[in-house]
Amino acid sequence: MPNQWGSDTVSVGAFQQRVSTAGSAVNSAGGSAAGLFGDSVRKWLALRSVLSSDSTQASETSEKPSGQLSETLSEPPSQPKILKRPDRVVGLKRWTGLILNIKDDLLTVELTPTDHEGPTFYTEFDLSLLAPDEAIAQAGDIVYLTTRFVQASSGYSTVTTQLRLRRTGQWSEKEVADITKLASRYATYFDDVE
Amino acid sequence: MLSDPPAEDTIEVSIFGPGKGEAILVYLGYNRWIAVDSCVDQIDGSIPALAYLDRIGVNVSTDVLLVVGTHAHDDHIAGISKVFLRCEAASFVFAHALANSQFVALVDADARAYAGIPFRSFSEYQKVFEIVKSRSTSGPGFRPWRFASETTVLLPPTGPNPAKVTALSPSDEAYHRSLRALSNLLPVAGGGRRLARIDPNELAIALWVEVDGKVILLGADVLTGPNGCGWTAVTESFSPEAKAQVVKLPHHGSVTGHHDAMWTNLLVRSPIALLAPFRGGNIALPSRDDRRRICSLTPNAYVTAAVQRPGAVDARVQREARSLGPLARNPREPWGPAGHIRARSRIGDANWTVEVSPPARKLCGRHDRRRASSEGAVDILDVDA
Repeated sequence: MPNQWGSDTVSVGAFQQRVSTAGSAVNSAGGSAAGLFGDSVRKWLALRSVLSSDSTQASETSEKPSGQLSETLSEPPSQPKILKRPDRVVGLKRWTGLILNIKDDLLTVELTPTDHEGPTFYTEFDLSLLAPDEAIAQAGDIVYLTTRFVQASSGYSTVTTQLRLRRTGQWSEKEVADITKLASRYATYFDDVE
Repeated sequence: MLSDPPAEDTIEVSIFGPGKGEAILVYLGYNRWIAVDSCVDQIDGSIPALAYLDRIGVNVSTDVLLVVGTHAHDDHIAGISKVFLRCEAASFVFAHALANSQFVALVDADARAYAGIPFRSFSEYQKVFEIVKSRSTSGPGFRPWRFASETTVLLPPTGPNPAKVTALSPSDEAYHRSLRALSNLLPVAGGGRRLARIDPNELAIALWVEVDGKVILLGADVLTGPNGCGWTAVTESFSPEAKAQVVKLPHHGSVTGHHDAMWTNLLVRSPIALLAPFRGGNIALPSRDDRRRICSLTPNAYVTAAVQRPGAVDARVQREARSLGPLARNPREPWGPAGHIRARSRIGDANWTVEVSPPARKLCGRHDRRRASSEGAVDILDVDA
């Protein structure tokens, strides 16, 4: 087959074509395979090439003349790819909650907004939402609640809610020393006052 | 809204409660007040007891002699540091068992472990400590804090129309139990920062107030026991000459604070019983059984707010709840406006006048609940002394 589209070999469907992914030849050629898939294939190829972090490809690319972005695909796309806009997070709200009690696999929480104005109120959640920490949660623990409002490229909106237990970590030696020091100062003060 | 000041020769007990939390003011006559516990109006953030004192023209900075934090539960100490800050002439009273390095360490550990978290058990105590320190040089004889245990006289009877305020609890046994519990809570290097909780009810301070024949028992959250503690200990060690005509019922009227000997040994028949409800989590106090029991003991029982949560959820809470998505169930607010019950009696007069400001109401009887819904319901009660 005449080398009319550039210097790279690309498998597309049942055809083997040379396609310049960066040049203008494809657009102007309009021949067989390119004609079948049109702009979507070219865009997909260009995007995949740019985004790929494969070292082999990087090596191959480095051998090509400057300005040429190209690759060899092992598997052809089964159908034309439609490029999607990424989903967008259009809203985010956070609360901090105090677990008041846990009963019948429900936890009752006092929620206070942490990143917006709003009232403090009570609500209940399934204990299973705290997984994998549901077994260790107890009244008096702190939880964080995050709600994200996501607008998909399709136009549909979704709300995701995440509840997680606050991990408290461990006391350091310095912290304990500081606490003890402060407490000793007050102990003397108590004695003085009484 | 009650806004008339008491006469000089009048004794007053006022209790405020929005549904979770309680605060009490006692007027001892002749420009002397004591403040016991504190609560915050969750709707507007105000402190009902301070708002009332301001409304009736009390000089808060000079006329409040004691601010008592009966125990370290947030439904009793919310906003108490602000009360104490305003009451510049007052001593802050707390349980003797908390006057030690272990409790200070616990308060400090709490501040570190819950930094940036809006729910801290002991943040009010941390602020109180700072205020006390700042007032430690206020002058000779001034004691910025007082420690209470059974039979501690917090206010000795001096001057005209002498008033005496005595702590009835916590007992020595409760003191030692609490010290043991505190020592087990202290942070250790490498240990988890989650703080275990002690039950401060065991350390709650009950108060006995006497002014010229008027006697008032403020029961805080004192519980029945265990042995050597609570009402069991109080009724074994304390035998008053005159019984109380007015009682702030312990522990929100719960059966856990009920002790027969308290009613028979310390209270007159059919006393005026005041209480603030507790609407927290899945718990609502007093329960139906509690109400039945209390009403069988006195018809003169009053509650600062409805025991059940308000029927209509606030529009702001509804809006907020919608943001949570379907996983959050039964969003609700435990609070409402703080109701106010006020009992007054003139020295030398056997009658007490009880007034309620909604949502406060009588606890017993359908008729009385309807009546209490109108502003300024007044009962004049001849309490059997």
